[in-house]
Amino acid sequence: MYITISKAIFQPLILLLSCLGVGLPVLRLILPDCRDLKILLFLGVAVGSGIIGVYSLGCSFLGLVYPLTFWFITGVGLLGFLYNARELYSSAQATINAIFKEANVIVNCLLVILLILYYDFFLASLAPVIAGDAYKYEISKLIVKYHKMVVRPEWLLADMPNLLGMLFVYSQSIFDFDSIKIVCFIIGFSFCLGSYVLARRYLSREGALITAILITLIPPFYQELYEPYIEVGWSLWGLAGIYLILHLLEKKSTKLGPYLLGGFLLGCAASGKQFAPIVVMAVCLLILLPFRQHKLNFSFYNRLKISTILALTSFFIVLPWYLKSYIYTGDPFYPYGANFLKTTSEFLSAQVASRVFTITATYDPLSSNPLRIPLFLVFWTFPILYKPFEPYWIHPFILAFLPLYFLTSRSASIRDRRLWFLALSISIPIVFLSPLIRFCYIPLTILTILALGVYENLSQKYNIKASFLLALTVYLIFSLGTVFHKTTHTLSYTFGLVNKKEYLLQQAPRWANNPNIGLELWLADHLPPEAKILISGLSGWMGFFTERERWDMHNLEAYLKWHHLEDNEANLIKVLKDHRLQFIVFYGTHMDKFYLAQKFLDMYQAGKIKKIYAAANNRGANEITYILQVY
Amino acid sequence: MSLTKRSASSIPLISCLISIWIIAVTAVFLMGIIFLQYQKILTSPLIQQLFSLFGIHP
Repeated sequence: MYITISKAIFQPLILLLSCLGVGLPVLRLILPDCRDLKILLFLGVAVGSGIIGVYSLGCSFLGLVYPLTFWFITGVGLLGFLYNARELYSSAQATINAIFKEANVIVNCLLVILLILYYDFFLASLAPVIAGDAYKYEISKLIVKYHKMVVRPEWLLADMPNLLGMLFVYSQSIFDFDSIKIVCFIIGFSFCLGSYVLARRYLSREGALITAILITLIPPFYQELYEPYIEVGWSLWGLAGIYLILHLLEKKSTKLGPYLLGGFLLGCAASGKQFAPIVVMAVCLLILLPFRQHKLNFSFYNRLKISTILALTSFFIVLPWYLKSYIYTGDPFYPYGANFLKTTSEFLSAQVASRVFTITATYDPLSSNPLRIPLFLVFWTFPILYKPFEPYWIHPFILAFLPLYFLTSRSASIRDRRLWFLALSISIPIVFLSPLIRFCYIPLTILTILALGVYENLSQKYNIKASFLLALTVYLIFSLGTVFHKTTHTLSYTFGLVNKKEYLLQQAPRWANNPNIGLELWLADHLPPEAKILISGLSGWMGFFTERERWDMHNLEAYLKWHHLEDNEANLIKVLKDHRLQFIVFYGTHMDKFYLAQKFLDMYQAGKIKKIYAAANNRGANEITYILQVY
Repeated sequence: MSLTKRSASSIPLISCLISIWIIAVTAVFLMGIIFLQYQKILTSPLIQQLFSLFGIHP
């Protein structure tokens, strides 16, 4: 067995309890009447992880990233948990009693499915890191290595991790690198709980459980439960903020504290991605618009006040990221400020053009030209996005039930039009900016709730239960099959059948952008571990590069373009030397993808840099791998 | 309305149409996923045998 008791029990428990223990006292202080276990767990983890993230960010700015600093906040969290343990115990008793009293066959089946699913994801999250959001785990690794905030100038967009990245710093400091997957599991589980809690406001218990299962089974979502991606983090904070604001508006609360907490959560969400502030804008607009549910309870002046408080609090949380962008690029809202702060000719900067448009082009099977994106294609490719080698789809019940909304619109049980507003105002900009399902967990949750609301309405009038259960069962069998197919391979490591190196070797071919596993082994064996490399591709793959610092060729191209250094070879060599980039690795097939690859090959042929390795890999003679040494 | 309770009244034609719609959307959706994401499944020997059993040659 490679999984020790510490890894399987001690680490997850400490991480969960410290998040909860930091969050619960704040919740008790601000929302004293909140006693429901699931709401306490959901909001407790969201608030606690947000606070720990901000704490880690502060520590990294002060250069205090040491285990002792983080054990201090862990101790505070454990004390906070003990202080609230009695309260939690009594609400847990009430919840368990309610489950046993009101359970029926379908509820039991759904609960068992959820338990098995999350047990599987938990086991999968104990294995070593295979892949993830490179820009966040890489930088968190460097922050832990250098004990302070690290700047990677070539990552114009993401040289400072968001708050989930700061949680990675926290868990790495007190445990090891692979524990960041456990943080992801805890955050993802809380999101699932949050979708249940939000759904339970509008739906029956079964409907809410089905919502939680359907959200869990969206492929990029469950992948984020056992690999270190960061989308689910900001989605959790966004969902918690939205839930809290809806709750406060319903309670007609006029106190300042709860709205400040809501603003804090929304601010945490807004730090997640460059377009994540859309969530804050949507919520502020929601409060300002005269929706029937809150326009009688709050005057326009009050609503203006609330939305101003929310906007200012969240802006205060995101301020470090805006300052960072301003210092490095001159545009605080980089890259979106380029439109109105700079000349209009520079519509989108180099990095966004290379990221967003190439991503969009991948989903367009008809066109290989990134600038020819037919926007209407986005809508039909979105539900079943084609991303090579990765499963990527939403579930069919949104498509099945939402078009039938008009049949029930007069007697709809979900009369809350604010849900429609939130779902559409968050999802439509994201779909246009960067159409990936993993950016849309919040709107997808809301749309799922609406779809199941339509179903529950229809089933009051028409006899459609059997067909729905049939469709649900077929979909569940298919999705669970894919989930277990994706996760069972981790069990071979968890139960000690293979060691870490064998496990990484097994997993390597699953990743499309990793054509040459031999290369990685060669690099691991021949280059000193502290040597930095510049590499084309491989950005999502961790594998054998867990310890090694590396730069992505994509980002270096953007950096050079931003600083107008791309034409001069002497400048290029100077940049490489300044940043101690000693080795360059690229594939022959990347010649037309990266102009730098062609440039380096020319420089090698002119004798300006030397070659230390070049070989055709297992895909054929066209794909030659070059390793060049700059100095 | 709970999923487990029987519906209060039923209008057979519309119930039937909605049922067909739900199952059709799910089926088309799953087929779309299999075509786009799991094309290997379609070319596997077992599925090929099944296809040839029904006289289909995709």
